[in-house]
Amino acid sequence: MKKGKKTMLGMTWMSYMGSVYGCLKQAGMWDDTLHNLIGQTGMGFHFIISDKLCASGPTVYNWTEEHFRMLDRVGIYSEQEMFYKSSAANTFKAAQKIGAQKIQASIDAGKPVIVWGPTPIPEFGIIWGYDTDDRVFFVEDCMPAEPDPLMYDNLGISDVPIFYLQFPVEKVSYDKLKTIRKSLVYAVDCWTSKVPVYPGYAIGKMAYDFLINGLQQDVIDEFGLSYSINVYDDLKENVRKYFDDIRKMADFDLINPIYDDYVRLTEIFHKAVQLVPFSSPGGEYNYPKENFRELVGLMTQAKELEDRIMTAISEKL
Amino acid sequence: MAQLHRIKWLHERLLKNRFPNCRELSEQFEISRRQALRDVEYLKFSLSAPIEYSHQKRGYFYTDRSFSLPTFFLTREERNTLEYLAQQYSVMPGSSAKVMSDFFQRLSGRNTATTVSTTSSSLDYEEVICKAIAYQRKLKIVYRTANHAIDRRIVHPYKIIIRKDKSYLFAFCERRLDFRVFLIGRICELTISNEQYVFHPDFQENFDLTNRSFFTPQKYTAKIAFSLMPYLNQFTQPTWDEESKILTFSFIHSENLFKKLINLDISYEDMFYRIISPNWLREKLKKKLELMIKILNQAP
Repeated sequence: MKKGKKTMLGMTWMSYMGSVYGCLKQAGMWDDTLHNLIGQTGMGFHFIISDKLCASGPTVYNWTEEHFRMLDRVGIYSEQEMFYKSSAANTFKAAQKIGAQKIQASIDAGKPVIVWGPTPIPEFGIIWGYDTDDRVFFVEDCMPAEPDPLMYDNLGISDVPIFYLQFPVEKVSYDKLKTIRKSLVYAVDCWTSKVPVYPGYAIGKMAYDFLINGLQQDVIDEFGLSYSINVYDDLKENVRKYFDDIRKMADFDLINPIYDDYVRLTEIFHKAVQLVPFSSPGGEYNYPKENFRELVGLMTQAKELEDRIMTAISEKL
Repeated sequence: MAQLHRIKWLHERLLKNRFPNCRELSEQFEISRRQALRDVEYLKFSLSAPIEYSHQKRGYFYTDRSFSLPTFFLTREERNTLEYLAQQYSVMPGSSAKVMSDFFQRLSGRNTATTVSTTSSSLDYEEVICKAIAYQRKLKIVYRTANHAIDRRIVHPYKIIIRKDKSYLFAFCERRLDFRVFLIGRICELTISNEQYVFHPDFQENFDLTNRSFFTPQKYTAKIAFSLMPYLNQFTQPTWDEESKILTFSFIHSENLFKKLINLDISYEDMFYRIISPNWLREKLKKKLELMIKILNQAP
């Protein structure tokens, strides 16, 4: 028996948000734009950098806590299943079995599921259907080609061994203005955080220091650097669109004074992307050294500009 | 060097046509008949002496009396070195390499190539494996499993993988008809076969899967009915049921399988194949082919 309706990810470098957008749209739980989802949930204000400039930076944070709160901000109650080092656990098979039952129930209810690593790409994706005869889940990842399905027995097995599922359960009405304000409070919190998200991973203003310092090292993880810069360029562009939308709201004048600065910030990131264009995980990375020096200059400017923006927002909140 | 004295004694009597035999040799040097026979064999096979046995004279004789003994004898280390050289040449392609291998093997005094055994270090194994990989030679291995059982396999060595300071051999196992990873530290014996292997078409996808992580996901299983038995070596874990004409095998990426299926020789009369399971594979291939036909029809 085959069930489910093909669901695509939203077009963004942040695969989690792309997956959330796809699932919520399919489930009829979100009828706004992707950039407003990225803005209102607060994900757009993430700026996490590894001190080694590793590609893991954008996905290193407390998933269960953060993802629950992000969806809660937009009125979605969600449930999650998560544990680390999955296939080595004694109870792994039980987790797979229960996970599969919940996925089927969610799909039967018309709600696709957010999943970590449904294909060999270490990113979030969507489970949108299943076939009980073949014992497979139909999935979507962030690549354009149609992926092969995920076998029931391979649920939770990936190169980054984290068993993670998020089920959007119920939509409740929420106060949009209040959510926008909450998202900005979250933005300021992220920016001013003095605590690393995890050892070796900083967020906000401190992450710029990690980035600038990392760019001055002899050995640079060029793939990780390129990936991170591309992710944040995309997030900042989405936040710019979000700000553009909310500054037009009659009773919300908080963004107007900082909007032009935010446009400049996104322009800096667009330039940064040109210096470290993305190839692929196995691609050739051999950027000229002067690009790193130029990038240090751009990121120093970006840090000052974003500090000014966040200080201005903070003062008005 | 007692053997040297015995060989010299034997050689002198042979030159003088005295027809020495094992009984005389054993009595002369107070050694066993078996030991005496080994000396004669050493002279004949290792030193390539033109020696034959005369039933009439009940003793050995030289067919060519111009034969002379080598001017020096080897220490054990020297023999091992020569044997190592023989082994190195034995895996190289070409007739010259074979000649060199035989030459060093003869010089080493051993008739057949010895096995690299447990006394060798993992690094020795790695070197031998690298040679086998370079010349695409099959390897015969004796392997100690995680449960301490001893297992013998013939494998096609493809790659050495280093993971957490440990070396692993990624190879195709002839018994399992599938790709396997062997911890080199658990290999007890290793022999390079003279037989060459052919790269399995599924090598790359299996290697990529293993190389990414040792938490290897399960592979898909497909059942395809063929009107004629296809060439099984191009599939992984193939089982052919002659009665139902169904091939069961495993695969990793549908894209690679499609390439294989599209490239099958379908020029035979009444040739057909039908994907029985999984359903998604059949549907995906159908969709892909329909798309291809659509594109072809659109082409100017």
